[in-house]
Amino acid sequence: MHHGKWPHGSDWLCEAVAECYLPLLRMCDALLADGIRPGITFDISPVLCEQLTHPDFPDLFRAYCAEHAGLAAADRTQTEEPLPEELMHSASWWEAWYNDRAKEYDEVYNADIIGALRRLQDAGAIEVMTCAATHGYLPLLAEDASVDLQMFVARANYRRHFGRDPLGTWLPECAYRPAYAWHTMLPVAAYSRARKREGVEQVLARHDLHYFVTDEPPLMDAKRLNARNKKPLSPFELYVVGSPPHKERVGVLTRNIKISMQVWSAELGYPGDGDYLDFHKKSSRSGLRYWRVTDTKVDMSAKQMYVPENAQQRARDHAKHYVSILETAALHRISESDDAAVTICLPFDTELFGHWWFEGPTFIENVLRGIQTSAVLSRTLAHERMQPENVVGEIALPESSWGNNNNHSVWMQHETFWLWEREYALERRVRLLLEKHHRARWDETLARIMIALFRELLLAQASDWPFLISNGTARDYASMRFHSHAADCDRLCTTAERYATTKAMTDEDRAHLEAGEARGLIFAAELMEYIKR
Amino acid sequence: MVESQIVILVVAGSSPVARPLLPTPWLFYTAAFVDYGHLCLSYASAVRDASREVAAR
Repeated sequence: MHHGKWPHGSDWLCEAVAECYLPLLRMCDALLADGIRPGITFDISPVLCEQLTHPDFPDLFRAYCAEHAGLAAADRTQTEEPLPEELMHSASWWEAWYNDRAKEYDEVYNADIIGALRRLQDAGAIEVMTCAATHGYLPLLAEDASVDLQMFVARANYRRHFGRDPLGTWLPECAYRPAYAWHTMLPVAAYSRARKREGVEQVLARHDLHYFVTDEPPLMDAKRLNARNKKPLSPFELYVVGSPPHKERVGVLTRNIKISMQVWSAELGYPGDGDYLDFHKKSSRSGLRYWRVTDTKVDMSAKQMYVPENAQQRARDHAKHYVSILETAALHRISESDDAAVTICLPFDTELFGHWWFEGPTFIENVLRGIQTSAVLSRTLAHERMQPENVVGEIALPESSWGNNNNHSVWMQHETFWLWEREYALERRVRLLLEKHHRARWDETLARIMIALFRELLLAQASDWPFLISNGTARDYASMRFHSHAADCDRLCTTAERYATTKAMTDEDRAHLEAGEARGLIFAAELMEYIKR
Repeated sequence: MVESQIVILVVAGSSPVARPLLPTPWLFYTAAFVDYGHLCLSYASAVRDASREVAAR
């Protein structure tokens, strides 16, 4: 919010609401109306909760829908290059689609997406888990206190939005690090010497979070804590993770790669089917999408017209096929093992359903309906499944992520070394500040400065910045955002030092603090709770 | 920063989907886990036996 409209501003959020969250909420309500519990687990990050509940968002969303309905209408009525008959039909369809989303947002969901999710969770229809406050890449943060801050704020934010404590968390990028004597290979003297660090599961346990999700390859590289148990580890089973000799244990669900790739992969999976809406080809006038995939290898000029009815039918067919894959996989696993039951964990970016794959919500709804009528399968919420009676063993999980090669290289590589060096310098500076000026001695003004400082530190830690730099999609934007949060945090450290020593703020310090607060007070209540604990 | 995931958990087999046997939220430690482990094993075995009985009938 308040970072412009496009390409990295509010349009992105509006697209997600129109194409993903509203269709998925509608799907949940449709299933409930038919007496079917959706039984899916969502992760909504704290930043996303704040974005969706921001007082400015409803008007931005209405304007977005009106703008896009208007673009479709303009495509339909423009006379310079009249559209072919079938495109006219598509333009009318999109015009109605955007108008329907605006109406649905206000009239069905009362302009409150988080409220709708909360009601579904309260009714036991879905589960919502939390995620690190600003999606910080936890294993690479230099201070245990930083990991703790990310999860403290996440939990407090969840309570504010969902009125209860979260039971589990999505670890940003599934990134995990066990407890060990960690040090950085970067030239940052403060963190170059190995020192004992907490395992991520220890922080989760401290915040009463009982499960997280890992990827299949790290599980296959994990070691059983009970070495006498020689049974191979399997993504179909549930484990608890620990870093001996530490006693904390937290449950882990494992992404089943083979079964989920059928949905993830644009090339090999369902989303690449020729009948589905093509994501990339857009009208040069309006930016609207009127074409279908046709063939993933065909030239843009050869894309054929999108026919919504055909695509919807295709999604229903694919759902049937997927349910049969799930049944086969489950029965195969049961027959080849001595397991009484199997668990198949299928995590997806929510944006896959509706944004990247427009017909995704229809697919997922029909998968859930198919599971409902299956003689073999049932589905369950994460906390229901992650009960001790379903856990088959304790494991030591290796340091890992769900990125390339399941290591940290997507977020930490030669193009992002500078970012981490600066981030580490910030963490170090904040730590020294806290050691020098103990919380017990903070007055109201210093607390206010520290809240602003923690906020900027959290925002600088978002995994989005190194990710966008590494994959090259928005390198300048990500660098700019990181620099601005890091510079503000640094400046606030100076302000805090000066104030703690002199009990006075310069005009420049006050103006800088107020300018930051005017940009937004994300996590103000959570950070107040943090400094008062 | 539009970070969100959907997790679909599919279950097959005779184990119960949800059963309020143990208090939640739970966080168990090694010693407790051994006890829970025994409890799980005996429960799973009982469920399997019960399922077989039902199937036999």
